[in-house]
Amino acid sequence: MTLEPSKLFAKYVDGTISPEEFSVLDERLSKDPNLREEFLEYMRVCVVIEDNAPIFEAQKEGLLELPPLNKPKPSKLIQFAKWSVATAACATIALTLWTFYPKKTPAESAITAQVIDLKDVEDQPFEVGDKIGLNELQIASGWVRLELPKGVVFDMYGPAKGEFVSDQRFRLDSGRLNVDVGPLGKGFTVVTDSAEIVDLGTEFGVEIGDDSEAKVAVFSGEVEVHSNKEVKNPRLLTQGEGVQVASNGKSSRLMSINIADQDKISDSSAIFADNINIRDDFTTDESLRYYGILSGGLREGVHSYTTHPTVRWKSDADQEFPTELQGADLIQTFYKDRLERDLNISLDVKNPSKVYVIFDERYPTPEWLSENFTETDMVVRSGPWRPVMIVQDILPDNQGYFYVRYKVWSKDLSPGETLNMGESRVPESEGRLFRAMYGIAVRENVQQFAQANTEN
Amino acid sequence: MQSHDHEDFLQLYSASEPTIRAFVRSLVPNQRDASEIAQNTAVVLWRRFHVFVEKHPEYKAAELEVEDIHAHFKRWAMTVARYEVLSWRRDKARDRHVFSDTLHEMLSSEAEEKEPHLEKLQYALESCLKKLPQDRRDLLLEAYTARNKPQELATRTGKTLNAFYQWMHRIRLSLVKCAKRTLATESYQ
Repeated sequence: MTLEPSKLFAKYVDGTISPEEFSVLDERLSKDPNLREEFLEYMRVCVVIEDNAPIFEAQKEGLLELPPLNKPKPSKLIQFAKWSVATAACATIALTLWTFYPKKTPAESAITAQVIDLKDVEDQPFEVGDKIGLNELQIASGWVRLELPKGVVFDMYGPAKGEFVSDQRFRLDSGRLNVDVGPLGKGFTVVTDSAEIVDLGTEFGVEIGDDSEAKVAVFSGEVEVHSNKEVKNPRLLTQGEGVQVASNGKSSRLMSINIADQDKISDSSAIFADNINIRDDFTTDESLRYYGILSGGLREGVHSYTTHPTVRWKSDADQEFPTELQGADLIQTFYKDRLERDLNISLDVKNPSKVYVIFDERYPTPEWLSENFTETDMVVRSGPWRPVMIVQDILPDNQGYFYVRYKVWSKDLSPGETLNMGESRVPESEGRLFRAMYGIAVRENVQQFAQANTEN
Repeated sequence: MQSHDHEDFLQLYSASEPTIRAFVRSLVPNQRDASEIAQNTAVVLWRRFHVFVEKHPEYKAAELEVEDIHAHFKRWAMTVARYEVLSWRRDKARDRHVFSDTLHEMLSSEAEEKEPHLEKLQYALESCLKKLPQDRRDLLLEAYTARNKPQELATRTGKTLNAFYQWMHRIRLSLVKCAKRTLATESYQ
């Protein structure tokens, strides 16, 4: 009996194909270009499933705090520090209210979107998976993820309000949203009172502030920000960069953004407590990068840097992630800062806190660190790294991946006190050595934490 | 090699990596071999990056648009990957299911030629996978994790092994169908 070709594809990828069937497959593919195209498409399904399987496995084992595939990924959520307390209060008292306005007129004024996920929404008139026509979109609280035409993934966080002017253009009146545009939705534009943000194939977030200023942060790819004052001179932002455009059209660097796990969005205790103020001495003209603050987010597998897509904080080999660091507020730095000379990062806190600097253990310790901080016995790693110069003197593990080991240094910091941190690079006098950029973490209420641990 | 070359390489490679992996996977029968070949490709690309830079002086002089640089790099990376697959074929041809030289050549060329379409299809497939009912999606992904044996999953789901494989095949076909429909109807063109 001769199997139909697609069943031979299946047997080939499942590893159950017999030598005879394999010969038949080879012969048929050799003769039929259409069948070869079908085969290449079938193999692409396998690539997608194989790519997603390890993520699924890690989620199942709790290694990643990622929700399942149809749940929100831990995408970035802009929660600017000065708004966080107010946002928490709103989230607590707001009555959940959804208004998906019906089409004003037939299809030309509405776009079709699919509801991919929802969270903390009561009485919603639709379910995950529904296709809806919408133009205006208003959320009093909660969170919605929509898939728009051309694969644009659109996350809106209540309270927020806006309107789809077309399937490629959204006017944001208030609140915040994240857009993951993907390769096909290039050109998607978010319009605000003070600026237009044009996507060039990327993931970015926009939030409207108290004074109608637009805060824009790019998580990957590039966007152009056209402020109302500088229409002919748009500002190009790339991954890890952010600006705020005031209502008068003036734009300036966004120093830090809060990044939170989607799972914690309605949990007021997880709203960032506005404790950390971090800055450096680069001006808007010199740099537009932002520091990412992940409230309570330090743990195994969390991204180490705002700008590196693959490198994550990990426990030391065959060890647990240090308990003392677990759940501390993580400040994601800029991994290219490892090359900066005379880097000066300043940090202060509103509540008594312990600050941790996670520093590449290789080569000499800089004075700014050894003189102000105490070395702990905690060790963590970052990785996996590609074979870049940072890992030139490190052997790969048995999977072929490279990991950098870091020692953890700590210092108590009181309100009103400013902590200065310096450069990561190795002095030229030591030779041509490449050190990874350090990480920073902050834990407030250290005594409560220590007490709880003792009781446990 | 200058230190900024390493940063450039990292950026270029990261952007091309999914394409390289998918391209390699189309040409070899199992994921493990595909991963090994993709890793070897990465090492070769890194070692020979200076040659790429020398051959593209306009790249050094920053005369190319970013997209053009990525396109040049991707083409070069796919050529290197093709050689790595050939090298793997030489070593493994005797003990694995390896397509004939003629078919291999046809598939390599056509995979490269159709990459823009396959890339769009892959994107749509990701979306279709997310739309699968959760129980089916979980079972499918579970079947692809290293620790699960198909026989155990078949038993757990009350199917024979053969029926389980057929079920996976039907899901894969439905994903292709969904992705093609998506490309056709949602103005992906």
